[in-house]
Amino acid sequence: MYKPEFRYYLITDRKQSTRRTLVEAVAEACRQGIRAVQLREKGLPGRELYELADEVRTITLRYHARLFINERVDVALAVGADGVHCPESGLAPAAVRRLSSNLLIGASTHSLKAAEQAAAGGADFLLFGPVYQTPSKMKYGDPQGISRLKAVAGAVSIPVYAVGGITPERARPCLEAGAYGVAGISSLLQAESIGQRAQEWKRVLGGL
Amino acid sequence: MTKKLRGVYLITDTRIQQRFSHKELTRQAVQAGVRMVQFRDKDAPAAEALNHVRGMAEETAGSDTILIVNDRPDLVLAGGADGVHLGRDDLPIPVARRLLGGMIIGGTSSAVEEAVQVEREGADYVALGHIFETRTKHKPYVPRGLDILKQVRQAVSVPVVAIGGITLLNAPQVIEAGADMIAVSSAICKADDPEKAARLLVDLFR
Repeated sequence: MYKPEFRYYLITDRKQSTRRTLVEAVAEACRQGIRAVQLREKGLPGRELYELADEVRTITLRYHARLFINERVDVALAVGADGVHCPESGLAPAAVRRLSSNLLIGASTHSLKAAEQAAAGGADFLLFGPVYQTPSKMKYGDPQGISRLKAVAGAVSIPVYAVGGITPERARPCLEAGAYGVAGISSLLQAESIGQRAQEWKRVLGGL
Repeated sequence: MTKKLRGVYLITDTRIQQRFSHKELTRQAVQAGVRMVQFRDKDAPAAEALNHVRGMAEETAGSDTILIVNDRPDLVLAGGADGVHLGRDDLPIPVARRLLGGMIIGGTSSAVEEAVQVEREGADYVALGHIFETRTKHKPYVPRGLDILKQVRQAVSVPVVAIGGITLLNAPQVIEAGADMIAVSSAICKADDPEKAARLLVDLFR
């Protein structure tokens, strides 16, 4: 079984990277020790996404960080990413696994059932949330809360990352509920100092 | 490619009509002898798109009809299709080639220079459009017409697919102007009897 070497999973969103370009933000995060990046840029045409992914691949390789591409297995294969991240509405982990035995597979899940399915389908790790209220995940309904996170972490044998409104202060209960790590967008992307924020995460997670 | 790419190219559409699914339209197209069928739905979530592609692949399996997926080489591979069609904003053709090997890759063009470039990038066919006014897909430029089709036919050696506003009435001129294939959506999908409409278009190539 794959034991991820990262405890913090940075998810991108160019629209939330308002203080600096997304590429600058990713580069700074990796420089500050972030070890896994999921490129999740909705609405970008394939060519632009490929070019951005290629650029981010260069950065992540330079800092020995893992790169996951949201949804697009073709783009992940084309740029030599480490893995694919499957949203619930995208290709299922099992379908991705049939396309490539080498890609790591992360999967976003919003229910216990989806988490069990993704794990059975060959996902290497899961995201579960939103644990707390967060503007970017409002469409997934009310927050799941710590108790459901705990149920999911207890039900699957692969690592589960808590996602959704998680700040360094709120991370402790997630870890106590069984989360392997934390995933987030705005915490790092919108930080005034990415370095300082990364240090906070490192402290609370016991490593990045 | 085993046989020359020539004939009718159907882009199934379930927005301009809701009577038939992608799979049902594909079945009728296969029956009628349509040469290529393309799945295109940029808004469908990938899981849903994959189900459509798989359903269509069941219909084209064992037939001479080639199944193409718009924009997504990964859906081609996961869904059991035969190739991909790439617009100018989609993955670069050489990148798709690395993923798909000898499968079919088509590229979009709207001018002679673009068609030449698409061929140079390694496309197996070049689509040119839109030839006539079309309402299926919004286009920010004027129809390309038959003259440019003739020029593109002269300028490239791969098959040329004419697309945009083609009907049973104007299709003969398009073929006359040198199109190896005519791509249609409304002309078949919106017909009272799609299979019959497809057959009439297929017969133009006999």
